[in-house]
Amino acid sequence: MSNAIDPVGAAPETRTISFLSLLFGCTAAPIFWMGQLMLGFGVTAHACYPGDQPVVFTKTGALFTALLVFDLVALAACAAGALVSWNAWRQVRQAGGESHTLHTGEGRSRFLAMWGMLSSAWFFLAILFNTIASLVVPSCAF
Amino acid sequence: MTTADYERAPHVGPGTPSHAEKLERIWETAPGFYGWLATVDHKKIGIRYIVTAFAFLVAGGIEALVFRVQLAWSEMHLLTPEQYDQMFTMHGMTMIFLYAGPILSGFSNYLWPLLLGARDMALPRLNAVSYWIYLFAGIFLYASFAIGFGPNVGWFNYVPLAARAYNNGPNIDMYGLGMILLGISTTVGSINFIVTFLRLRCPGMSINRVPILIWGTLTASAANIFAIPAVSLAFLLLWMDRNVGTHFFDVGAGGSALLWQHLFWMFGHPWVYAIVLPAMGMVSDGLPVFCRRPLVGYTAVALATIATMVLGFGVWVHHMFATGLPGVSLGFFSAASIIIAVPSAVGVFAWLATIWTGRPVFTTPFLFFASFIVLFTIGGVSGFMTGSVPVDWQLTDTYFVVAHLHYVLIGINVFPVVGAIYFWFPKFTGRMMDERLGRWNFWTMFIGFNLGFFPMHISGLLGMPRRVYTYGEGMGWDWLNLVTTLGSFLFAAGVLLFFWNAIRSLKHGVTAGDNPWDAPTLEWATTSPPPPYNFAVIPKVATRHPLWEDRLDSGQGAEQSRIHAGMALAHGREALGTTPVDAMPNVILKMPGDTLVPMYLALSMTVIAVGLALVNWWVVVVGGACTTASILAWLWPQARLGETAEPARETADD
Repeated sequence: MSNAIDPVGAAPETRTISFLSLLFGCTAAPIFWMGQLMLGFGVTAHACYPGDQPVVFTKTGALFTALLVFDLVALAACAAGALVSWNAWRQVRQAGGESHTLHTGEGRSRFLAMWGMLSSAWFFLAILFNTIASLVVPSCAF
Repeated sequence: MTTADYERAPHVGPGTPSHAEKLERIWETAPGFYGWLATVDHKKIGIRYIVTAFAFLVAGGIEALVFRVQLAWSEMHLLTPEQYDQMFTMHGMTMIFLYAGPILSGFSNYLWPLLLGARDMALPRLNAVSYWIYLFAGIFLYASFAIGFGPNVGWFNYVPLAARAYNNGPNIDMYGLGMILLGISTTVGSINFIVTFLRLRCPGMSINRVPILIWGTLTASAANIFAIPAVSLAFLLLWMDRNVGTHFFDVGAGGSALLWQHLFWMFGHPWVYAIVLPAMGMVSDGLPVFCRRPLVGYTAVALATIATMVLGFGVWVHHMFATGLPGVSLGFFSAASIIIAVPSAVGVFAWLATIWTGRPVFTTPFLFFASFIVLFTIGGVSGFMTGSVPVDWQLTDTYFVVAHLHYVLIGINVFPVVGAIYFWFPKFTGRMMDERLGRWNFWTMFIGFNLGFFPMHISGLLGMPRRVYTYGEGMGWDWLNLVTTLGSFLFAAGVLLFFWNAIRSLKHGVTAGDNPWDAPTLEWATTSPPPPYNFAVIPKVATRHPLWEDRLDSGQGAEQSRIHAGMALAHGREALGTTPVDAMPNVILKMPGDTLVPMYLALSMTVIAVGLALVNWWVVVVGGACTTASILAWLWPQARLGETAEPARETADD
């Protein structure tokens, strides 16, 4: 149908950037943050309270190391998301023109690229906070 | 109906009077009582949501005033402990579930198709069923209170207090079943918003051109889809514990009381964001109109809306910091509760920058929107404080938390909502609300609110516990509570002024015209109030501010939005389906008309709930049979919706 009437044309800059890379940039950081939260909360809570009685969960075992590795992977995923988004943004930042009030921020690719950069930065911070918390907070203090 | 009907190239041109007349005939609701019950018009449903939610606001407000009298001084005995418990439970349940969420659904139902340049919501019958279930669930929830057996353990309904051993009346069952009904209403409504966003944005409205209110409601809707199953499951399990003999929450039999808290707050905290994000969206769209400039930081504000919601799924345990969970587990939720301040602050700075760099016009809606920023900041800061585990341990279950939640919920919901009524009332009714009365209304509410709720911070810091029906002499809380009570009555007087202004303006308000505020978005491009079909032709937008293109620099040769010429679409009730990201036209959608089926379906489901509350299986079976029949009627193929092989008899003269 769009070919028959084509009333608007394509939104600016839809074809220059792969939609998948934009999607990765926007979602990698929040997905890894969720993973870190679920894994970290679930594992540590269970490790501290495996049955009817609480136990002491040491921060030197393999389980804690695995959690830390996941934290690092999550931080790396945020960095990757930011990088992909920044790369996309560089390619489309002129979309709509810089000097025109109405078109500032125009172009859905640029919009999504900017989202990816912001999202990666915010969730990087959230993952970092969680990582610091798991390092400094006494693990099984009730 | 053939495939070609969906893929035909519609006539494109200006909307003529004869075309508008034809659309009027096609889209108008049937007259009389039948039409009142059978309408699927999003505008009528939206107004109904708003009116019903305000009715519940009044009920919840009266409950609050009664127990504020009780708490005005020490050793008062206006209410018995049981009456007090029911009163504050009903107040919380009413305000959070029957007012704060539905009022925003009302606005979004009314405004979404107009903001998106569409003829209706994507699923009009689902829209109607969502309202009817909400109405019946509200009546159901109030039925037990009316006979003296209201829920009495707080809106959070903690076990074991809510278990049969401690609460053997019908109150908890009716609360639980009512909540399940309400959950169905919210879920189907949320699905409708999501599908509408994905399919019904007018051509050109790619995702970077969507108003922030749309982002707010969309985000809340997506969150509801994930959050509501948790609480519906919790209430179902509790009903089974109480009536079937299961032990999900019975610690003595291997169950877990904490399981209730987890399930409830996995829903509860995202719900808090669901009932504020659309309201923040209304401010983001309304405030710039009175600053005479576009919103500063559109992209960041849109993302902040979504990021707040995503982070909002990782904070539920901050309601459980005092339950004895391991320290490192609390750390995760404390971190999320603190980091959520970042996207919130993005919004605050964007609104402040919009005011700072604009030319503010101090109308009543502006006052409400601007005061929201102040109240949100105060509520946000106290929330940030309680996000810290050690601080929370000191403040938990004190009036400090009551102050925080009221600053958040009234500050970010009631103030924007009242401002939004002033802003969109001309569109709803064709008349302006009175400005002079509006200023009295604003200052009475603003002073009353702060007088009423700010002292609660101090009562809390002095150690006053929440959920107590009275307190002893000599605690040092009397004067603070008296001021709180006086403030809450002043606030209520402000709300009354608002209602008076709205009712009076319905008849005596100045005629508004299409765009009385000179606003930039599509809802102001149609008449006030809008015709049943919203737009005679489907608009096409080229920017985020289609009605401001003539004054904002759009650059030479830049494409302009086209409002009064476009696709005609008048082969029966038709809407234009567009692609999810770029809003490119790709299909013509056939929309359903008036039908009683949504109301029957809602009524049938309520009968099931009544049966379960009475533990009368015959009533449940009757309700189940009626529900099945209603669903069959709903799904029965109709020619006019293109669901049968035979073509519909519609004229094709668009």
